[in-house]
Amino acid sequence: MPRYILKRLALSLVTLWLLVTIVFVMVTLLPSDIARNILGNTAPEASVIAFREEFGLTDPWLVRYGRLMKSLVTFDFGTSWSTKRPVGGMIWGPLYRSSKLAGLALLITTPISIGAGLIAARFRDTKLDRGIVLVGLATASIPDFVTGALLAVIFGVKLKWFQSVATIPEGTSALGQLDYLFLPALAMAIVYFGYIARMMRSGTIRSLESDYTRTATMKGLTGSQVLRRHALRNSLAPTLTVISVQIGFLFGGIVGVEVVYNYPGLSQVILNAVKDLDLPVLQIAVTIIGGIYMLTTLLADIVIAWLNPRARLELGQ
Amino acid sequence: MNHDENESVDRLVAHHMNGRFTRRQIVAGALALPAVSALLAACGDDDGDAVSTPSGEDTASAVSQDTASAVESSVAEGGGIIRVASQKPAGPLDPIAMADLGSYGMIAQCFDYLCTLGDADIAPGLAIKWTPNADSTEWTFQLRDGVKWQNGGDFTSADVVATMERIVAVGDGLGGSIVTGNVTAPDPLTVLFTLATPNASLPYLVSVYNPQSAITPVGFAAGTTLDAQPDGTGAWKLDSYDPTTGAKFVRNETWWGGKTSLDGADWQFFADVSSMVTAMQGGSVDAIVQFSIVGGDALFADPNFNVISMRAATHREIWMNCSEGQFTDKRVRQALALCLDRDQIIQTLFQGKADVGNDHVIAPLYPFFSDAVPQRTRDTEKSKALLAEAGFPDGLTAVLNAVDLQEIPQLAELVQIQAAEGGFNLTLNVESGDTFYGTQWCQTYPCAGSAELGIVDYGHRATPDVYLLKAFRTGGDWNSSQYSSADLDAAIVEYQASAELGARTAACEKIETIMNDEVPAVIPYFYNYIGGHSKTFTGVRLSALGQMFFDLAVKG
Amino acid sequence: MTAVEQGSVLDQATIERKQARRENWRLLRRKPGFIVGGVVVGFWVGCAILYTRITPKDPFTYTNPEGKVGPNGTNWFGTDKIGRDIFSRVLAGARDVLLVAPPAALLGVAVGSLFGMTMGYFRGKVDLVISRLIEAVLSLPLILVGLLVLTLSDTSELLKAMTFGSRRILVIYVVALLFTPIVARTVRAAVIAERDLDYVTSARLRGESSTFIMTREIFPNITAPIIVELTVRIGYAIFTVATLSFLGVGLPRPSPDWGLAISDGRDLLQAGDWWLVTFPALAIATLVIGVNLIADSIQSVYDR
Repeated sequence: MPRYILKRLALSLVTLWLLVTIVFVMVTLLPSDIARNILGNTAPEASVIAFREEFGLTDPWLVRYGRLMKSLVTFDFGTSWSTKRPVGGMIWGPLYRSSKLAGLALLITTPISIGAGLIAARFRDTKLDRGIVLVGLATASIPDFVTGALLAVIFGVKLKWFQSVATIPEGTSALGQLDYLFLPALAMAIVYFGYIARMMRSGTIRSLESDYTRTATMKGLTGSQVLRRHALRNSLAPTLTVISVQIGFLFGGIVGVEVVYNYPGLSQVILNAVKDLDLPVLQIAVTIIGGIYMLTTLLADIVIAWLNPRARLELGQ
Repeated sequence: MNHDENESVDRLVAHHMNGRFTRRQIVAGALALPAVSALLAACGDDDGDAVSTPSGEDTASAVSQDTASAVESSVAEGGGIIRVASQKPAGPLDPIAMADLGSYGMIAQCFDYLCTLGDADIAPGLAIKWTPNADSTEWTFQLRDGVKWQNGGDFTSADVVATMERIVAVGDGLGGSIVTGNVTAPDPLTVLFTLATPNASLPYLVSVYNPQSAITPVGFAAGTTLDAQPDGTGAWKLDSYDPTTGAKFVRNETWWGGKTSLDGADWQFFADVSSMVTAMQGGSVDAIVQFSIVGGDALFADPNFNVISMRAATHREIWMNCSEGQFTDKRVRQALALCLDRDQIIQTLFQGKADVGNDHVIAPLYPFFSDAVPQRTRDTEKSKALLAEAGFPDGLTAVLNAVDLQEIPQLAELVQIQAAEGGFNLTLNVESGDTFYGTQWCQTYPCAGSAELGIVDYGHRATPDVYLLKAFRTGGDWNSSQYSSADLDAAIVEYQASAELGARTAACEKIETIMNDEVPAVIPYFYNYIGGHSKTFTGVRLSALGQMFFDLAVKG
Repeated sequence: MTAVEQGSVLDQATIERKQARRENWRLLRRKPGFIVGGVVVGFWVGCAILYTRITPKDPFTYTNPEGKVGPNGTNWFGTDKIGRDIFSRVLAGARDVLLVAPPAALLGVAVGSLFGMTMGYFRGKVDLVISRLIEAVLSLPLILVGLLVLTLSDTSELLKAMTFGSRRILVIYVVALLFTPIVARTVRAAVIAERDLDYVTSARLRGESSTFIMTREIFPNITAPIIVELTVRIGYAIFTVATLSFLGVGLPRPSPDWGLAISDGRDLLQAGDWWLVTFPALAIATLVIGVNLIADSIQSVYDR
């Protein structure tokens, strides 16, 4: 097992390198004038030229690529092109905030969706099952920024139960922060509810129909017992994969929710970095998202292995 | 330009130094003002724009009437902090290279200008007096005595000279007015500007209305940012700055204007205007630097919110490439201009809160605007006729490019619909600014490689110099129309040299006539700048360039 | 076995298959879910085909010069920012939505399943290499991919040829590209769970080819997660197109696409003007639910 984990971590480094290279190629391919883009269309030509000089934008691409690799290897992330501030300082705050929000969203959505999926499977083809599936589908097809804006208007502005924007003042207590974070986290949770619940439902139904659960039922176990002892274990695997893939997305792909609630998280950093083609910031932010993906998928694979003896055997080899 | 008539502002400063009113007096003073139009606007008055129509003065500034009440309420008591919702600065806080309202707002808190925001005009800032010679080629600025930099040093003419040299080196040299060595310092409190060509609007170019002209210390090397070296002369000191979340400012105890009433300002950055509105409604902020009319309805209806609405020269340019493509014939350009129902566009996009444009950049709010050129109105029959004359009897098919910004996508859709009736078959290509400016607008500078038809945004300016010089003069940096007219170039020179209002208006009439006839760009409207604040605060002032001033603000 | 006998056996098989098909169809028609889903999807398909012929107002021009107005007698769903009738635009929008979302979801799920099956079945080096690539693509920000592809579509001849110059096809590619790695991972996990089961092992012992085992043995057993992916992805595809529009890289204006309408009206939703977003959002929800009801019914009939 430890050897397996080490191997996976080493492979993750390869993926990260691949990722960084893809991003670099993408940004380099874009026929955009980075300096002009950052300084604005009305900036004088002289300052645009000075800007290009300052950040070596006119160097050959190999030189720029080398510089980039060096900055990643030495952990000296350099200066942001768009704000002229150290990249590190621009990343850690948003990363911390994104973790808080993503964590809360997962905390809300995981138990509810898994529970709903199980219930739907257990009471398959009843009104309850249909209701859960339909609600899940409907909510999953409405963009996060719409769900977010609706929640903000209803529970923030009209009812005033929670804060309508998530700009948390300094020195707010953990419980007080919940007041600001609940609505955006709920908006994110709602979007993923349908997907996770459906995966759980179909996984559970499949394992309920498989031979071993049939045997268990024949042995005289009740429905709930079968569900707990046998089905749950086996149906969790695809669900865990789905959740693990979504975690990275919760960090870097929820621009809509972050914009609506004005929450300065990693998604907005990435959005701005893409818009400015601010490569130093974009690289680090994307690498972090990539790292999160890799860690969560590794974790999911380990848990799946632990749940499924056959897969465990394979990992041991 | 009433360069010496600064009484109102001197009065303001006097208040600052000595004035100690009780709160009741402030309220009385504010209500006694003839035009508390901000209040009217908040009450839903249809034409309640808090317009600072320059009353007989030849000013060109878009200043909130709120200024007036501010004058009465300069009381250095009360304390408190104001929470401000602002757009995120788009780039580094480099006073010379910055180009967006978010950055302008930050810079104006810490740095002062030679001429500052006044009551419907510019007012003495770091300069207390400015005088031109007879033909406006030499300008003498008398500097304020006893001004200190926040880090301790004395402010002198050497700082001004150094700033101007930097503006020449890496900036646009005040719109091309000055070159190296043009600005000299005869003594520590006097600065002399010697211009190559006469320019009667120079004071505006060194005022808050030209945000890049903020005065920075001698040692403030080009490319330095405010957050890297927070050392201004302004009313506020930068305490902390995070480009993604916001900035905190605290009172500058040694400010030349005296002790501010508020203890500080807490600026929060927003990526999105509608989130600012929700934040305001939810009570998370006290002021909004700028918001839009469509989507801001809730604030207009809020009795506790003070809307500051002011006429501005902010406009959109529907440019047509005059040197290549299908729009080289001016009849084609006139035809497109004739298709637009401008009143309806303004009604739809701004609920009427905009001035109608007449395809030239002399905005009606400029005191030297001439109304002699008849307003172009919709005439689709004439449009079709002109198209036929120009060789397009079956109509013209083209791509209308536009940048995805504020109301521009909707404007593009309206133009497409309205132009269809006048014989134009337009396809829309709305692009994000990341690619638009570099591919459709200007590929290189001076502008070249522009698309044949497109919509681009222009922000407010105190005078139209920048629009004229950059967007329409031959070889201009942003001349996406690829327009070149010796007549217009001459008229622009005449405009710049004219010192008297009458002469200036005459020059503008020439500019208006040429632009209206040749239509290098359709300019459908100049829309109002809208900001505002909670009524808990008084004396908040705002320029149409995203600069909100709290030096006279009082919480109460 | 004589030729005659062989022929009759074949005939017998064909008849049985036909009967089974008829039986399935009979069962399907009895399912209320199938009927409801069919009616809903049929309605939207009808709207997409008839397009502007059935809209009460022209969806591409304004009916109200004042701009937005709430639902009323003339404009049942109100009007949008520039005064166009939302009811007409929602009906006409079905065409854009149906031409983009289902193809994008189908393409993404097909390519993703292919990758997922290959990875899960072969494991080893193949899995290793594709997994890295997929992880890398998964971590790419949506906006970067969208922006790059849409920008390159103006300059790259290859992309122009692949999309036939249509922005719509380009958006399909972008959405499919974003879905592929996610689907691949899910399918891979499902295949891994199957590949060591007895039936696969015995097929391998029988000497069946990998392609045969993958397509004939494993695939029928992993259709459940794939169908879930497909139905959920159609919804997410509409969602993603909306997000692309929100980020400024979606379908071209003045398309009545529901996603574009939603991203356009979102700021007014925050200001309290609910109708600009609600009706297109409801349209999306009904379409997704309809597709899903049909898929569910088909699945339950064939699982019988």
